[in-house]
Amino acid sequence: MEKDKRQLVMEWYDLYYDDIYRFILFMLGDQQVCEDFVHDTFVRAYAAVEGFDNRSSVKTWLFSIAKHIVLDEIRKRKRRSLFSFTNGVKEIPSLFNMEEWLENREEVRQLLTEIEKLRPNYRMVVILKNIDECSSKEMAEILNWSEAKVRKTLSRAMKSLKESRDRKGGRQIEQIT
Amino acid sequence: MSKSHEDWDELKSYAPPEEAKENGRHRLWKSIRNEGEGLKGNKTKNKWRGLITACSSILVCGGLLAVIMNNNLSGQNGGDEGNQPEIQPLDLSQFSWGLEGVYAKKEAEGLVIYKENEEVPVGNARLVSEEEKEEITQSGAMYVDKQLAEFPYPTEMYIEHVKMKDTVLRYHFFIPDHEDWIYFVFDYPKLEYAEIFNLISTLKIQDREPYIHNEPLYVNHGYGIFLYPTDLIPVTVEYDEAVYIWENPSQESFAHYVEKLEASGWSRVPGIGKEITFESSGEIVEISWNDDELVYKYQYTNQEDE
Repeated sequence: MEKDKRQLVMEWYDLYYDDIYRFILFMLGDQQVCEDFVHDTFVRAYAAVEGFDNRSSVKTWLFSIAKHIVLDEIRKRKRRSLFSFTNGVKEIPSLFNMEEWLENREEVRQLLTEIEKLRPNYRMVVILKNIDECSSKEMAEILNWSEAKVRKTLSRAMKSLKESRDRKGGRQIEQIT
Repeated sequence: MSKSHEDWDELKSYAPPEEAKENGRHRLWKSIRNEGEGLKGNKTKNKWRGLITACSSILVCGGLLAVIMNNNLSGQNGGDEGNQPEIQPLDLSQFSWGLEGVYAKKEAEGLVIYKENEEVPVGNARLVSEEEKEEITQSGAMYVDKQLAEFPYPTEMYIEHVKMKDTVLRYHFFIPDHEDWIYFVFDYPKLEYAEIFNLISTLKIQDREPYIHNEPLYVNHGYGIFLYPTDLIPVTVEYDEAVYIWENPSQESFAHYVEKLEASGWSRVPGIGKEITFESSGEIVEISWNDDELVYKYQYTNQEDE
């Protein structure tokens, strides 16, 4: 059973690594820490797998673990400036330089900067919805909110993002439905 | 599509570096293995060994034979031919297989398949119509659709990606049966890859002569690209090492296996000794064969040092 448990968590890692990585990266904007926290997410999942019930999917369960880690981190420290590379400041070296990825993606860089400025709850719903493509039901499970609260928060977050971009003379932000 | 949508799409398409994922996988494995050591103690290999040795094929086959004796065989092949729109339930007596420790129970319209000493079923079997088959194969998230032409019966295999606590992949096998299909389902990891293929490759259906291929059969496990013989039984399967009992070992079979691996695109790494090493796309697999055991050691390039 122990073997199966380990095998199962490794399978989950292969299936959900990208989703969890993106969520943590865009929430914290720190690649080095991101890799550590992805690791911590799956280690915690392994430790808690016995208590996982099938009421939620594995995906939402893993996201809820990652959410706790991320919020904990945000509370613990004065958050390092998200996506500081947008200001030309080098982040802690990681295996991948996101600056390279953002080269010639000026609008995407701008969008990330605006997401960075959102309060954590807004940032979470925006990322879960528009980047990780979670449904309202899944977001409600991950955040432990009602679906109504998810919809309301998302609406406010998107409005805030739109206003922020409009002020900058940027494009309209559209919510992907 | 608006440009704003494109920005979100760009973010959605952002893929973490493969190297980071590989390193993370290695690191995670070490962490959970260390964490697990405290819990499990010193057991797995010998326990499996003992189990396999203790469970003789006579027990399993005997169990199935006993059921055969007790079942009424008369209605198996359709019975009332004038009135046949209803799909007939499967009968236990129709099937046997060479995999030890896995048995079936008759339930409702089909069979429920269990592993010895486990309460949760590992699979099931039933007869389905062409329409039902279509429905099944089109409803799930099927990622692999393959014909297993050299198996005892022409078999269509589908692998479904399942997001459940205890199931990651669901294997669907369809074997034609007149107008219908005999349909087997197995859940991984409730049943290990090698066990699933061992069962299907040794399946016997009553009154239907199985095709016996004149060479060993090989399959991929899950989404992997490495080939494994079908006549394996897992002893220990871990992320970085797997030990299998090889049911039909021989010098000739091993040479054939090595040939097959080379032909499938894996490069053999020159070396001396009993182990044979293959490499492909950053993955290194070392195989050693000892008596009736095949041992696989897996490494990934660019891993962090221990």
